[in-house]
Amino acid sequence: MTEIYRAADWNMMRPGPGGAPDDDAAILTTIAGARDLIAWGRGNAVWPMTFGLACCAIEMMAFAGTRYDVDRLGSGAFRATPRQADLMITAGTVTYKMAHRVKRLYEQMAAPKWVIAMGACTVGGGPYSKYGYHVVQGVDLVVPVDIHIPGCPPRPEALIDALMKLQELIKRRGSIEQQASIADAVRKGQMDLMNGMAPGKNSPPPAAPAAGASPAAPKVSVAMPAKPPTLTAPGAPKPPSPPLPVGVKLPSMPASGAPKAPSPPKPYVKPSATSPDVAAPEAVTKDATKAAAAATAAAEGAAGSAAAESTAKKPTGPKPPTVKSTTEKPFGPPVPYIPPHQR
Amino acid sequence: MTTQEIAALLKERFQDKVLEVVETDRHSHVRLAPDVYVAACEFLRDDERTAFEQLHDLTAVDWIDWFDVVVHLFSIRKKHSLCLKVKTPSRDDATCPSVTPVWPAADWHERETWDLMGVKFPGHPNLRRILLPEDWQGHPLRKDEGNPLEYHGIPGIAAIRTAEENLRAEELVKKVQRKGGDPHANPLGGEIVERVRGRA
Amino acid sequence: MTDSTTQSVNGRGKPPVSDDWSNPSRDVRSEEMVVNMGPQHPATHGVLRVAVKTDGETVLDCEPMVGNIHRCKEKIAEGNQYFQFMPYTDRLDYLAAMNNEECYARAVEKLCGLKLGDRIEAIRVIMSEVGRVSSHLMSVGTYGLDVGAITPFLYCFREREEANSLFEAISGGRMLYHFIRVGGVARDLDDVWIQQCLEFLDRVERKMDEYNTLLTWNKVFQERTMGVGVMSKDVALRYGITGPALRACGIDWDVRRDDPYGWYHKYKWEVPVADGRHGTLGDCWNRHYIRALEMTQSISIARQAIDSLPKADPAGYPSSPHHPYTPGMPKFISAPKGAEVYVRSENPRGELAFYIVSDGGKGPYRMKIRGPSFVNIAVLPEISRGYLIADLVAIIGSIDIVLGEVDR
Repeated sequence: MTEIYRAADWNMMRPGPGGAPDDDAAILTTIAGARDLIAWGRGNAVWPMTFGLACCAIEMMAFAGTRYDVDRLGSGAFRATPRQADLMITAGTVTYKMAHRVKRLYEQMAAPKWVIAMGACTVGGGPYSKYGYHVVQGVDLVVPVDIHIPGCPPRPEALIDALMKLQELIKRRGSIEQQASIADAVRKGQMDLMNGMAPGKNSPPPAAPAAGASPAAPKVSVAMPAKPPTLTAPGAPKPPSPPLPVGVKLPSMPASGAPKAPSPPKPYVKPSATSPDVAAPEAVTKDATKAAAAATAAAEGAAGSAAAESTAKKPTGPKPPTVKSTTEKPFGPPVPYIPPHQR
Repeated sequence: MTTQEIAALLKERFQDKVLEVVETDRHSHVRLAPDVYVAACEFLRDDERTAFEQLHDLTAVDWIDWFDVVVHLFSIRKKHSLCLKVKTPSRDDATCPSVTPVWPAADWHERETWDLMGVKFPGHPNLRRILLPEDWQGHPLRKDEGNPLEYHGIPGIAAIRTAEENLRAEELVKKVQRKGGDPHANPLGGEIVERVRGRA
Repeated sequence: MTDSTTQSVNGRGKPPVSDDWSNPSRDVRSEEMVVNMGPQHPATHGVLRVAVKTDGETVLDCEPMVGNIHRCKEKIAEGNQYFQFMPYTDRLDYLAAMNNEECYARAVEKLCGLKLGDRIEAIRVIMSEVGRVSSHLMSVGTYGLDVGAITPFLYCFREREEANSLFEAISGGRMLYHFIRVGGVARDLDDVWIQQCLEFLDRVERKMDEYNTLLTWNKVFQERTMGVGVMSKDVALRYGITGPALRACGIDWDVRRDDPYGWYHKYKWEVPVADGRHGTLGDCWNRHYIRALEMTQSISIARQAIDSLPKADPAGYPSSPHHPYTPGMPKFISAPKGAEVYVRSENPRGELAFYIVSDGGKGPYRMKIRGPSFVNIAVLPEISRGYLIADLVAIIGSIDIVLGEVDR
């Protein structure tokens, strides 16, 4: 841990609009490990927004209530305004009428911000998928989602588990760049879906901007963020990637060594059980490559993403579509979470 | 009072405009002609013998050729109930007089019926969509309505299924090509491809 | 958030100002403004949006805008079989799922002509009344939260969690149960559960004084809610208000007693009706108080039902505890062609009703759900004119809507 980073880079690399440089954080850049400190602070004080949509909101209240008492995790400060909140828990069915408000609320939140999709409806339409002419088939078509929770409704324990996973995600620095590439792929897949194509097929050329790339693109773009802003000039080298500690083996890396950069992207493989946390990247990656499969599985009445995942992971099933452009970075293997005392 | 007794009162006043009285153990109703519908409702509300203060529910049923507007009335003072039915002229001319001036409770019910079923209520002061967005196309509870492809750029389940079918069809074509065959020689594969292309 | 315009909110063009407020001796008239409240607002009980036309802090007119979680329940019903729709009824009024299930099951049974055993009916009464207690606990607790009292919410949630555990023990779900089935229930009650249920009822009854001391008889709460949002009897009748909001206006009407269904005619209890001794008849405080009184009555009904629970008929008893206890249920149910039914029940929020039309198939041809919250919230403009914006929160909370039922 000898390298020193601008703490603001951490903020910048995260996918999401409006990652403005954080002056206070920039002051701290002279201190080694400031990023650790900031990540620790952010992870332990995630303030959710008071934002209930439907039935799941009642379980969210129970999660804040007497028995489950989320205050002990540092997330008891439910904010009524999105300006003060870090976390949006989309608890309940998102409808077309509500989707634009959900999107606007997300945009009103100050970065860095996170989203937990709570319940089967927000994962993929849930029980309303088949005949629900007014139900959005998953909130990830509207805002980027960090954690999905299946269940109808999920128990408060599941929400607590998701919150703890999110805290680890926030504290783990290695996953940020990976998240950016995943978010890019998700956005591409969504554009394909909206153009009536299978995700990953006939992707628009990588040079073109995301929204309005093709004439068939709809007027109102889906709320996926634009490309993650970077501090560097276009010609300048990329910001340094987060370090990997020496001697730590990456779990799903092949034995022959790291894959070369221009090699064709591989479908995401669930890392081995030695990785201490796999749920968060798994949940995100599921969207990137298998959004359509998940949506169909949910449409056929599968109870949440667990069933969708099992459908998508069948070896005989259709292979996940690959991203065509070679300039894009393929999905790297997930970087394991290293506890602070081992760094 | 039973439905028959109330229907007798109505017949006494509106004669042949009471088209039908059906009484079964499950459900009973009185079918009225549209032109006396509002007057009959006023009579039912104001007459001391019937005293229907409350409009409990108002909805419509899509019978393909026409719509039935179904009204359920309850009286708290007399503890009896009544179901009224009115037929719209046709499917294209789906109109029924509004009873909002008689019971303000009908306001939202009629707006909902217009929104979801597409039955117009002339005389309603504020007939706008209530549940769906203002710019929604169609009336989804009609029997011939399906799921939307997209709404403001958000793909619906129909679009996602189309994309899925595209993917499946292309997989099938590739599978046939890998075996060295002509994809269109496969009747199933060709059919799926044609169908999907026709839709897209 | 705000929009300065002088057009009428609901577009009806009638002057929303009451006589009192058009009095020229009033001190200051400021600019009229339309303020948008919700759908993300902590006191709108979900995603209700209210466009409020204000003059300063005074509400001149308002219009509730619903539909933000319209989940196409009626279309779903048309595409499914009768028994498949049962889980969706849980999600109508998701605070009182048992009561919704009971009403829907009764509607289908009446439509298909099914007969039930005595024990099933008694079990349904127990479940409905415990569900009503659980729902009113939530209403009372969150109403305190709406008007600024946080402690009652914590206290009520403590008991509500026990009710959730109780339901979870019998049905497997904390909030949405799918326990009452067409033709029966999912499981028979065992002695252990009945003992737990009686203990729960005792505990809630003991705590009722606590809630009333904390909230109902609290001077600050009374100042906040008494004389606010007064609904006259006439308005309540014309707008089709049902449930505690109707009884708070002094109208003595309860479907369980006046149009009895199930086994309610077997038990003795009182229907709490506001008499205007405290506050004004039909105000927010009375609506809250009726709920508090109803909890006591529901506890009494549930106790009587448990005490007089009939023995199970061995003929229809399931061979395994994993099988649903549905003795009245044939293998396939279908209704005769053209049959219709309109069944209502007294839910915690008012009268829920199902109108089902059959075309002889396995599922409904058309189903209309009459949600009590949908009807009750329509009266909001009528009873909130002339009060302050802060009172609007108290009025919405006292009507006690659940948006899953408003939008269906």
